[in-house]
Amino acid sequence: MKVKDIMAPITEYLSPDDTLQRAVLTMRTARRWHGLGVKGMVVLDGQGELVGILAIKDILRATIPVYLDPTISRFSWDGMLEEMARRVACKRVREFMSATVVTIDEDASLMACTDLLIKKNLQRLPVINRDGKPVGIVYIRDVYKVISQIFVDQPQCPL
Amino acid sequence: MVAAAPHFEPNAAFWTATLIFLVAYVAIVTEKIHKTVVAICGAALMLLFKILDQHEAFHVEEFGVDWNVIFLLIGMMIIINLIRPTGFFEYIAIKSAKAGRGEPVRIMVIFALVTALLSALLDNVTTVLLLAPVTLFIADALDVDPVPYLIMEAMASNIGGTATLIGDPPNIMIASKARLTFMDFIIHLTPAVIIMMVFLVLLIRLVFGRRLRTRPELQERVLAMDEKAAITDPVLLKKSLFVLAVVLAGFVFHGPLHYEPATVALFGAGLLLLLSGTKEPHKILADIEWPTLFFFIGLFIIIGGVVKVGLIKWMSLQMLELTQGNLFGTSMLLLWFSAIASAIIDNIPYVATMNPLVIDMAGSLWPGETGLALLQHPDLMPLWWSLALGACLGGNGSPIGASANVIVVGMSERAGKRISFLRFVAYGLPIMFLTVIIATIYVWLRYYFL
Repeated sequence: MKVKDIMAPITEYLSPDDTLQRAVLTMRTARRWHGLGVKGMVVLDGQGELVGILAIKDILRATIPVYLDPTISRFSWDGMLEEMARRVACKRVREFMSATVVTIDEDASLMACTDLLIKKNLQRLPVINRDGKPVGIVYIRDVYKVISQIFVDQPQCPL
Repeated sequence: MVAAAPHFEPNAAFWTATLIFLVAYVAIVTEKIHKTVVAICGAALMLLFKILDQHEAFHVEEFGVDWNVIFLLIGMMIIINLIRPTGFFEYIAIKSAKAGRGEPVRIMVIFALVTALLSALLDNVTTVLLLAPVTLFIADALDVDPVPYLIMEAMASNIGGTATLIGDPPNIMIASKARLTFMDFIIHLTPAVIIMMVFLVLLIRLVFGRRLRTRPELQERVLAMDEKAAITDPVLLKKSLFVLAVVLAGFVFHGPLHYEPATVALFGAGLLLLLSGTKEPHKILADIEWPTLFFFIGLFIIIGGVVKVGLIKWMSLQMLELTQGNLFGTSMLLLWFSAIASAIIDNIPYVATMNPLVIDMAGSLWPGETGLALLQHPDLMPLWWSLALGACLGGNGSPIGASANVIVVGMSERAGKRISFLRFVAYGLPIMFLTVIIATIYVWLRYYFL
């Protein structure tokens, strides 16, 4: 099997000019095959080029002020996170997305894909075609599904 | 009064050295290439073209690297690198905000005073680098604009740094060249700085007194903070404060005890490294600002080259001609020219150039004198103080005038509060003029009138 055989096609995506508020609404309503919401989405510009990924970690990071460090955060007041969240809700996706995106070719092997996901500590990997256009996403869960199916299909291991 | 200009024939070495010097300066000012790279390349060219030989560059005080400056900086950087992670600076900042009872203007005044004091005893960059994040945090807690706070801290750090030998690199360089002691600076510059800080505080009250407001429930946030939570390593902090006290005592007495300031700083660094029980000195040493040190090393060699070929001597004669040997005039020219030059260019290369120039000028004025009698000629002393005051205070004039300014502007921008060039200048330039005018009156009254 190749990456393109297990990838999910890109049906929904974010624009770099979306507000974070809009981005979380889009991510909340999107559903995958297993019925659960998504925790990250690709960001495409007007030409359909991949310009970034916005994941929930990026949204969490957006609320942390630049000056905060483990020493200063000891003094934070109750309600500070909520205050910071309200402050960034209307900021743009482009400010907080991860702009350097690791991608994989649609014809790459699942082995190469698994290696990338693990070594680069990724949850999802945008898939690009020969023209460099994004065509799908491979989620860590999808590769796991392939592997777990192989485990289950094997004769039972001696205990 | 002016010594007749000696017969001077520029030769190939003169033009080569002058060209290297000028190209290096242009490259440093335009910032197309990193200044440390420029300094190292310029120094290498001075050696390659045999303007200086390596022995002169490394071992001759007149032409080469001023190791007193380098090792003083290294010693202080090591001490600061060990103190930083103890949470000492955050402790002071939170305590200051509480001492200000959460009132915005009172906090700004206390922050300015604390910044000035810390900058006088440590370096400006470290002080601002450690206080600025807490400032942004407190401003958020009080829901006030952090920009005036950050700019005032940069101002206070440049003014405070002027007060002592170790406060600002120009002072370190001047002290080493003129063999001045820590106490010389305390006696001659600290009083001027105290006057300037009084004016800065009055100015803050006048400008921000009515403008900065907060709400009682936000003040409560600040008052509820427990500054002791900042201290991550109380044992190391106690050791650090002990060593800092030893080092300060060492600076106060280095003159009478005949130790160079660098000896004091190196001793302190060694002692604190030992007491900290660190097993990883490589990490602490790696955090030394090597690019800054190599910038100094390269500059010293470049300046050594133009000193040796006579360019600096020639410049000093031009300056004497301009002031007709009038020392008060020269002093004022140095003060104001240094202030304006330092607002525009880095004051480190500026002072590196001016130091030998002042010495050459002294040599022309008092041809019979040598050594300490020349360097600390009673009529020359006000010139050194004018140079120090101008070079340090001029840094406030623009956002690129001093490293502390560059840091607050950068940090503010990352926090989403961009400080435009003009906004900085709107605060910085009047404060620069105010402090330089105070310096003018101070120098005139103290050295030429009374």
